[in-house]
Amino acid sequence: MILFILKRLFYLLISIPLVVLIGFLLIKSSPVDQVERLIDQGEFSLNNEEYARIYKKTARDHGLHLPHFYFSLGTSNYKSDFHQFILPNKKQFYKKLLSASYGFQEIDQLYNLVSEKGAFAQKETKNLLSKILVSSEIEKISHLVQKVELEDPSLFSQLNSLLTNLKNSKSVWYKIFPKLIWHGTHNQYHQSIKNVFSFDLGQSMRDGRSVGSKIWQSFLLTFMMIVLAFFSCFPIAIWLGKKMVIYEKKNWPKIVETLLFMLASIPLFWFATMALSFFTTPEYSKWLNIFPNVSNFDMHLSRNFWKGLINNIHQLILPVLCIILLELAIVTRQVVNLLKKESNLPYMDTARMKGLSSSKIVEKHAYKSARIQMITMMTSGIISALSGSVVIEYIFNIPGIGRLLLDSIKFSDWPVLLGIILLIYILSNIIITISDIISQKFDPRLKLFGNE
Amino acid sequence: MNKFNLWSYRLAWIYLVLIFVVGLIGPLFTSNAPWKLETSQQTIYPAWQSYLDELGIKNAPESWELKDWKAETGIKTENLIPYDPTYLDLTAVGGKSPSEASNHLLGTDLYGRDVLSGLIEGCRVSLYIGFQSLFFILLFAFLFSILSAYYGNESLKLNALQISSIVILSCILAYYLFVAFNSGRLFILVIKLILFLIVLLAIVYLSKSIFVFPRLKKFKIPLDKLGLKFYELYSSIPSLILLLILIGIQSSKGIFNLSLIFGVLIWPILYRYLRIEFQQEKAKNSYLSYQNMGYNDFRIIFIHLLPNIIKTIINPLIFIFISIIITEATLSFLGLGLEDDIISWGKILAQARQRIDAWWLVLFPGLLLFLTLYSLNIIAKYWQVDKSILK
Repeated sequence: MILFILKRLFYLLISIPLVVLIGFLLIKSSPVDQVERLIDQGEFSLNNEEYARIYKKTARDHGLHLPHFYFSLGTSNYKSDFHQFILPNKKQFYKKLLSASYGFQEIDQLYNLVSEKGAFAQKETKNLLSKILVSSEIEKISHLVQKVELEDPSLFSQLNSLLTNLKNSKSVWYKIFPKLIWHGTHNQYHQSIKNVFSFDLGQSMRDGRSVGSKIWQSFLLTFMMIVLAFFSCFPIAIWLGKKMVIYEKKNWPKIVETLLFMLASIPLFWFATMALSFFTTPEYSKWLNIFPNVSNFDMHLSRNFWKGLINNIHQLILPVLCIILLELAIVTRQVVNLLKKESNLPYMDTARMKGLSSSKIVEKHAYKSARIQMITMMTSGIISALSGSVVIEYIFNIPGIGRLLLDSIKFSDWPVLLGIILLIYILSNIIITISDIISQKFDPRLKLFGNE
Repeated sequence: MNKFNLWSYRLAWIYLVLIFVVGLIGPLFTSNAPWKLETSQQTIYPAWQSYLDELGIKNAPESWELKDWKAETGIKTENLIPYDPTYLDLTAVGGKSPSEASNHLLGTDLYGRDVLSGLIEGCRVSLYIGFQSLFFILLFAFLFSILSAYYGNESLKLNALQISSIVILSCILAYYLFVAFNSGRLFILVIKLILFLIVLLAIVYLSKSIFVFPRLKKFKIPLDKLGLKFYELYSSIPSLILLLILIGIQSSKGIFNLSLIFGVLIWPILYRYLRIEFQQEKAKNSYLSYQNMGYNDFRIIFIHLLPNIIKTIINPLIFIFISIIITEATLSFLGLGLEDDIISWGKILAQARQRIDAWWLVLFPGLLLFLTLYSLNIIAKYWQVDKSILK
């Protein structure tokens, strides 16, 4: 068994870089500029040179100036200098012109000339030159260069010669051949893998707190809620399921089954919102104000986690109750199906002929055979409860993992998002391993085929 | 199968068909324009004409874009629900319950929009998203399930030359499609992806017929095992998280983007179902005889295999359709759904959080969602019981 655990752990460690790669890919394909988010809002009003300086400094501080991955694939007019540009406008300028198959040298010359002269030019020319730097089509650039002729003829002659060079350098052959640029280990992906394996997940982009502490606190809260819900839901569901199968011939199981069926089709967020509006405020009736008001859980928790939690634990009652009720509906139905299937097997006829009462049959024999599948149900239930907690925590304003995930997506907080993805992956693997071990204990037959 | 179950099954189907019909026809009855307008010169039917204009069948006059129908003179016979879903009734800003606002049957939301017409518009939006996502799901699922079920683990035998030619050609093709001529628009990217898959199939077929060297050793390519492994991988990730991330990184909100995301995330479910169906179908004796007669693979798949499958996939398709509707409602509720000016059931529910005593904003959309999910469960239960009886 220890070998089994070690094997699973090994696979987990091997697959962490893959998971980080997928998360990394997803994050880098979003249109939000990470460096821009890190710069303070007040500095947006500065003029261009100041802003460029601050942008470069912030990018270097956070390691965002490095290329994304170990290598880059491009058309043959790319050069490795391209990956050292930091300013997004410059990158965009080069990228658009390169994808229209112009030569790198000529684009470089034009850009350098325009940015050099643009720093010391007069107002009108400066305006035109800065417009050139952000335009992406060759027609627009020529149009603007024509306008420069009216202002500054000498500059115009230089610009025009470079522009004609550029136009002449267009060649179809650039696109036909690929080019692989190798960056080595000096890239963002390698850096993040190194960070992950040294347990440093970085800082949140939203409030600067360390990602680890943020995730850990929220995770504890959500885990507590889920464990509370599941460990109170399953015993009730199993008890109810057993009773329903034992007293199958009577009338009440059918009514209960229909009720549970209806309960299982209620969408979770509707149920929770209705519970919130009807049962937490005295709006509708004094008698319905059973549960406490939804208030600022965050503030109490941020001062001292455990004290705040114990003082405010009454706020967790309604969310946990919502989860329990809806899970009960689904789980009881499945338990009843399992037990019924087991009771119809031929070996149960022997038990009945022996004279065993129905309760003994169901409680002892059918239940033992069906236990393994219940464990599978429980694990898949816990893993999917992580996603259900997103909705519950949003509605009841509880600072758990689900709400952290939502917030990090809404505010584009990528380090926290990577951390959450890793956490959920590792957690799912651990839960699946534990459930495998427990089901092997319950059913020794499983050991023979499939220690995997 | 007792009477209660049978009648609830029939009611469930009736309800689903009703939602479908309301989604199609409903906008005809919820618009500002009156049904019939009799002025001294002419009698026109503005609601019908603007409905045709929306469908794109027949364009309405230009002046109708910003026309204020409420101020029209002439004898009007009003529409059934005289409020457009996007019409802001300024007397009802802040939300009025059905008892306070006499005109609005189910009340208004916080901006003054009528809830009943919002619900009908929500039907329409749900149908849009459902069908668009179904298109992508069907595309991907059919492509992969046909391959993995038809070729199984044994049938696809390629020698080393064929394999290397396929790999090299597909890399070259991928480079030219995705790197060299990259335009960055999502729509074009999707088309390129589909094109890539189709051309890949053509490359495989071509190399099978061109590089035929009988003496070379052939390798079996276990497409089925690969497909299963992929499905395992997919089922080990909680899909809601992947969904949230994909929605967070999309560049622009919209129905097309959302249906693409749903398509990418949900197709493995249909793939798993289709694979089993195809395998069962293929195990019948007629397919052995088709191969013996020398029909090539494409002919067997498209002319003989596919038509027998279509009847059996309607059941899971309905499941998927309704789960898409519920997921979209959840997303709109969380604030991550569609653009701001599209109304959907989840969006009306989301407004209830801002004003807790607005019970009409919680009850009615939620009731519709509950009834949709409930009818789906009834239909599912009926089909399960039905199948077990047949066996």
